[in-house]
Amino acid sequence: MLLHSRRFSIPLVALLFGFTFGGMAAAQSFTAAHAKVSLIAENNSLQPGQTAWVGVLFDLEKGWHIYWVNPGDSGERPKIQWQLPPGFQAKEIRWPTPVRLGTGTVIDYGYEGRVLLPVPMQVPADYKSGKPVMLSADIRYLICREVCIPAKAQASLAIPPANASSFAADREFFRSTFENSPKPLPAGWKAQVSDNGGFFQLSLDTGTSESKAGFFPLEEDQVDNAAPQGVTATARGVQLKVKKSDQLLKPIAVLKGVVVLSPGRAYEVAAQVTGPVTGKK
Amino acid sequence: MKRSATSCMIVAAAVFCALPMARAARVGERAPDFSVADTNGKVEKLSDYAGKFVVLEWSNRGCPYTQKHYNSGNMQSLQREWTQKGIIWLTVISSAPGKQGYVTAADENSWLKQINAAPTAVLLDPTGTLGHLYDAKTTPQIFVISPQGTLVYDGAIDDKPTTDRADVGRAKNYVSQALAEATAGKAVSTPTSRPYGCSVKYPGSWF
Repeated sequence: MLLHSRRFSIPLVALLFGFTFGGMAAAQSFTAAHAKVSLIAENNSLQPGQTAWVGVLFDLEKGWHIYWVNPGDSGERPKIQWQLPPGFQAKEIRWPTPVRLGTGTVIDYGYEGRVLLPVPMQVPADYKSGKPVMLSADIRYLICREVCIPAKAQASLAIPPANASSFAADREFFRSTFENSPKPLPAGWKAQVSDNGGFFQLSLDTGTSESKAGFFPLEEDQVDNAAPQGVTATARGVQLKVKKSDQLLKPIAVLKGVVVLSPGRAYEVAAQVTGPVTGKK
Repeated sequence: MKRSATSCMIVAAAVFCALPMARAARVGERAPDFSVADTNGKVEKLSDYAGKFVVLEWSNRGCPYTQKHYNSGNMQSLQREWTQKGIIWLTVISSAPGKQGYVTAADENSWLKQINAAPTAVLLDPTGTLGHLYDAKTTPQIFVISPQGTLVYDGAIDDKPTTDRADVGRAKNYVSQALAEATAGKAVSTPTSRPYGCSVKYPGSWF
């Protein structure tokens, strides 16, 4: 794989200073604690006034994981601090669909293996096409296996790249990551949430019966992450019974999160919470 | 999901898992009694402290979030401040044998001296029984129990869920706030928060 050849090509100074100049657009992979962290771009050129996709690529050692925007019961989300040329502006990470991690009474949400955290990068309107720029970032992340280690990495990305050989592979990371990221609820679908005392009842109307579903809460303090989620197929979708967090003492107005129906079918949900259902209809 | 149901059987050493989704302690409700040996061999019972405020602090000295509060001296000064005011502070270690943070009584006692810690006692809970009874998820996680035996606080030590020591000084400490309010006879204004940190290293947990 490209990443492997890159790893060995990094000179010692790059490790000492945390990054190397003049690499490929997709380069700057470097070894941190149990992970290789690099910056990559979807395209090897930038257009004035447009949004370009760049991202932090984590290549995690087997058995180790990092966290989603809501880490769940323990852990902490990765944080990116950018150093950008004037006028460039990094937006929020577009978090790919996480997986459930852990066993028993402590459940976390995060990623294993190779994960790309894409970030929309606003290119200034006065950017001159083709002008070389260097995008750099300090990345702080908690990486855990049986134990957790707070780690730091610094990575840089030159655009246009000196050597564009990895461009196709990087583009593929973005494509597969977007495919595995939550999508807005399709037109015609409907999500409803009611507060049933100890549970949120989430009904998703997709038009067809769905037998599998899992809910990932976006907020950290609303849902009991470890509690089993009740899943009931309905004629036009699926119903999920999600236990509230014991620490949630007040009613919430909106329940936000991601519903995963099957791999690649994850959807963003933000539904007003209606009061407890009283009586039977 | 399915995974947590079965894992409950794996950790069946804790009797609490026999109950479906064990009813853990909840704020506003009675804090469940327990009986656990401390590092001096004394059996600590919550009911023995009826009439006093009791703090339960889950700890794992290998966890970087716990280290933030001990390396900065924050935890020790909280322990000292509140035990001097007559509050019972019980540190709880629920790490299973072989997992991060597991300690023997002798080892822990010399460590406490070394770091100048000042809890009333340190409870050793290698089976995770007490941890599951309170559904402690992280280290550090803190519970505050009123003299009447009601749970009045459950959550994080403060509002900065990081491993950065510099955040200690910038944080709003929920435990100090809860204790200050509760000991003054006031309602606790932030009775719950999301506990942050490392997962408690229970038996059978894989991280």
